[in-house]
Amino acid sequence: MSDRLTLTFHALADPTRRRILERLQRGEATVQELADPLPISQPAVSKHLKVLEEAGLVERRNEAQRRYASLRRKPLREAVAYISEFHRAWEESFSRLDDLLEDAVEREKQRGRRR
Amino acid sequence: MAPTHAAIPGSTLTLPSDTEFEIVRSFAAPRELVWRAFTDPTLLRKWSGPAGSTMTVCEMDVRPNGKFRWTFAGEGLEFTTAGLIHEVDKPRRLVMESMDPDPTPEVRTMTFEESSGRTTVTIRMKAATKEVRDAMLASGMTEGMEMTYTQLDSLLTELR
Repeated sequence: MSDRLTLTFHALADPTRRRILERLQRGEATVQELADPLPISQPAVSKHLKVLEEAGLVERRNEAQRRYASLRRKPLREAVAYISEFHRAWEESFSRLDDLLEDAVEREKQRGRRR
Repeated sequence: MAPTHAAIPGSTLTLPSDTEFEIVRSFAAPRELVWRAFTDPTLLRKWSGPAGSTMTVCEMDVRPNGKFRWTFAGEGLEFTTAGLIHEVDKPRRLVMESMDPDPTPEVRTMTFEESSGRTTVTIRMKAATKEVRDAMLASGMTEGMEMTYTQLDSLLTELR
């Protein structure tokens, strides 16, 4: 797994950071705006933002003495692609097992009828 | 963005911790039969492994301290995993540990539950080292990560 994905997963592992991301999906926000609905201080929010920024999930910009955070979606898409590829490989095996079991169940039924 | 989970019906994948993943899948067959499909080498090699690969070796000595060895080959690649079977509670629970290739121990716990003729299989895989963990799905995830990838995917859908 690439370092990039490791950073993304690490950033996503924290529920507060996920709430911040959910808030940012509605548009950019200041630290104050992000902290308001959360039971944590502004410095704590800033720390979380730093982790999100390092993972490339958040971008910051300054405007008229205010600092805004906004969401970057690309790392999220990469994380989902990675996990779904892994999941798909398992599901392919399971589909073969479905077929195998279907045949076996059918054979047992026929055997039952013959008795 | 492609709806990733919609393309993979049937099973759920969760990430219970930084060293584990768990996959849950229901099958339309009684438990005894599903147990056999997971433990009888003749049956196991018919379905197990990545698409396009063949299980060229499938040995399973299904008893405590019994050995297992699986080799998958396909598209110029070959992969072997081998180890010990720790617990056998037929047809409910099987615990096995891969010890080869070294040093990649990995404990796989499988439980089989039957309800109304269907069997739900839960496979939990736990890596013991960072190397294995990194090779497995949950790399980089911290303690307490409970978000399923489906949830992650729905978060993405919301974020679109």
